[in-house]
Amino acid sequence: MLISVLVIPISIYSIGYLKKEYLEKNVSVLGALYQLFILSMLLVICSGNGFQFIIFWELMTLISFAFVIFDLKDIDSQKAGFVYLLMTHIGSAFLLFAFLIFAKYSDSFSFATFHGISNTMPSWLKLILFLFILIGFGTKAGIIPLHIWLPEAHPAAPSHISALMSGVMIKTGIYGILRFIFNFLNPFPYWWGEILIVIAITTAILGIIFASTESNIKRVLAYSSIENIGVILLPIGASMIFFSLGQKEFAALSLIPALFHSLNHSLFKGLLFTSVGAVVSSTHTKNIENLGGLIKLLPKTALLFLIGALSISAFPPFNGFISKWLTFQSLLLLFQVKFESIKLFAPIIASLLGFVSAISAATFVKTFSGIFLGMPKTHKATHAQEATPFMILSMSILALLCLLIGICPSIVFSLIKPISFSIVGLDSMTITTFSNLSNLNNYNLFTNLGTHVLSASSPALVFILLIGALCLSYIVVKSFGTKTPLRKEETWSCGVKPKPEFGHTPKGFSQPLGVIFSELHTPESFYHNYIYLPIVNGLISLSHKLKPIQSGILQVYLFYIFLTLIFCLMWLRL
Amino acid sequence: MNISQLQIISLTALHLVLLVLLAPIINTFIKKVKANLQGRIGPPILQGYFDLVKYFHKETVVSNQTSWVFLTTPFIVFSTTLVASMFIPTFMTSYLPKLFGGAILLIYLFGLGRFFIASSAMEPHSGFCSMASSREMMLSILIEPVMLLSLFVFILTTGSNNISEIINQLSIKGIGLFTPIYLLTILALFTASLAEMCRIPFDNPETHYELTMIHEGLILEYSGKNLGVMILSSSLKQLIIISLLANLIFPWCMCNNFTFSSILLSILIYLAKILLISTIIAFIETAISKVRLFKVREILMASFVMSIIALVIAVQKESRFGL
Repeated sequence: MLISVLVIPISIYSIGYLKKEYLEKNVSVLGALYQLFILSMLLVICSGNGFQFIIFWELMTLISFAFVIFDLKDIDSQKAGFVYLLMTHIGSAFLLFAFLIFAKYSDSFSFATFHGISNTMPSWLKLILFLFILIGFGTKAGIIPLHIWLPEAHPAAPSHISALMSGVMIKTGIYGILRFIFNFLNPFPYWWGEILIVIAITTAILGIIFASTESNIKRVLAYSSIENIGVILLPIGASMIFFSLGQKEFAALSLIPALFHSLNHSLFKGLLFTSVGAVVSSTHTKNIENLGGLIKLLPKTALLFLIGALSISAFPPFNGFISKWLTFQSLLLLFQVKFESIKLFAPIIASLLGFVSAISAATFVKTFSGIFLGMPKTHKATHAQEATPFMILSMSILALLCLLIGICPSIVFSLIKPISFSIVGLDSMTITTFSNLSNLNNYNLFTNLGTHVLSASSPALVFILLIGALCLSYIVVKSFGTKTPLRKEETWSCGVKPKPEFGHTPKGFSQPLGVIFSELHTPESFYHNYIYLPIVNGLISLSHKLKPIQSGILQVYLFYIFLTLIFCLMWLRL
Repeated sequence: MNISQLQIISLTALHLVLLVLLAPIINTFIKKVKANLQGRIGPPILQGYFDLVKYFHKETVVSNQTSWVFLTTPFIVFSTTLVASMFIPTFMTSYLPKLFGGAILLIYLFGLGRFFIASSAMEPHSGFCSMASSREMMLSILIEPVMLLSLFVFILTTGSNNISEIINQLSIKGIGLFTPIYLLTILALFTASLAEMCRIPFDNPETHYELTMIHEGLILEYSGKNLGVMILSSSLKQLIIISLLANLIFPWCMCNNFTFSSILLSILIYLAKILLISTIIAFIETAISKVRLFKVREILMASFVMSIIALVIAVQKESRFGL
């Protein structure tokens, strides 16, 4: 469902985009790959068997790898492709291990037999499986510190593919986590949920801090995808806690924001990537520092980007607010759990979520104003052209969906509710139990969700009031005071003619953030130097030590084969 | 309470008109008290109105770098503030919030306004405005978690997300309100509110020096009517926050029936509450000087820690005795 919603507008977009950008390149190959990519993502979701799953999973990875290295001449995208391939294969290896362990216990690769199989496993093995699954799917989803491929790969791929990768492909990781944890690994202890929440909030905070100081537009969006994955995982963690404590209704309620935010994130991230694609294709630069003042040349794209930015920063009339509000509610619901640690930790995590969304607002103020407002900083930004009608059409569809869902979220609730209930294994609940829940324990936090009518009316009312207040204030201001028309003058800059250098650059804009978070803002090299390099070095030295085995003499290899054969035979005998 | 639909609407209208009319007065009142404390006479109490009238009769000049974002921002900011003011308790607990998101929505409505102010300040491409914009966003990052966490303490201890419901629940508690939980939370919320209102020690509302200002810098390029709308909405926002604080500290004496005398009485009590809070703010502004920009982080972190302590006490108390 999620995939097909995004695919339609993106396909329309790509028609316009490709005509413009890749006219001289091999469009037909890209088109075919594009279709295969969508197909493979659908197949991943549909596969009911571990074997199929792994194969389609790999297919999806490989096709998206082809997109990343599409710009063959560019050395950076080759490097990005390599990192991407390596990381996702490490993830796949962990997944394969997990599958093999499952298969060993259930004697089959079919997902149907995986159900509840973990009852027969020892608890340490379950923990290992949990970690493997977290690493395997987490690599795809981009949780920190497994995220390093994301900011490399997304900017390298063509914009509409980045939109798909960021909007949909990383969600397959979320799908995997949901499916495996809730269906195959239950029952699990409640502190797994705590682990997931801690990972999620770390991912969200670090992701958005990186985004706030980045000046490559597409990398900003890639980092903000990492942040949003964190935001999606938060209610999943809350739901796991409820689930393991047997409060299945709350578990289902807490899953709703996760699913909702997945959908919303695909919509607004799709919108942002496509509008950034329009900017990049007409200015040929991804660096915000070189842009500026594009609102005069690309007015429609600017408006659409603004809608995307407002949605992703979770501001009221748009869809991001609804899912973030629900996430807050599901975290506050955790206050009902009887453990004091969780009681204390849930509101703090929730306030950190507020922190994350404040940074994301700052980031998108920076991005929006850096690209579209002020004066153009280099000549690249002075000759830009508005996007093609196809691109505008597809972006408008996404923007309208953002606004529509923000105003009447009940449409989506009715779609999501059955999914969330089926994941936690509840039969479809009636609305009455739903509203009974909301008043439980006098915690009427979910009151606004209690019935369909209320859930629809509250955001819509805010929207109507906002528009009403806007019109009223405009009319009042226009009808009072002087009627002298607007005068346009140059910005006063101490008597000098204004120059592009006078305003803050996006880098300057985010400098105070960098100072404040200097402790948290570990540069990317931190992960390379302290996490990945030791592993890589270890592997290299290990293979150096193993070198003597590979002598290159045929007889020795035959001897190895012989030994292996004997070993296998002995294994079978036992 | 048996109040008809019509009475609710008329009360809400009264509430909105009162807020918009009071906003400039409260702003001048703080200036006046500050001036008196510093041995000056200070502006007349209606100075806020004189200024607004003046701005509305001046010509509007905008920078030629700007676009529609710059021109619509004053109205967007004003309307978000107006919508936010609809569910703020003043002399009565508002009836509207039954349909709203409550406390979290309040924070995000302010955020929406701030997004537009900060974007529009980047438009004229002036160094002062963009510096202010960058600082404003940095401050907001530090304010929001503190605001949210201290509101969460209220939400969790009263079991409601709704600001009016919170006030009702608090008023039932009576003297039980003066416990460490609420004192610490109020202190944290008050500190964060000072920052949200752009007051000393976070920002200096009086000066136009480029190194000290934040909010004044954001509206530096506005003129004429647009400036008037901006100033009115920022003083309305200040009044909203003051009312919220006043009613969280003194959640009593709300108007709950539709008689002339009770409405008048509760309005008078409400005035007394907000004047008291404004006087406290004026005292703070006189006693403390503005801190360096990056020191702000420490003050706000301290208030974040205060709300965490309040939360710890609340959790302990709840598990021992129940709420």
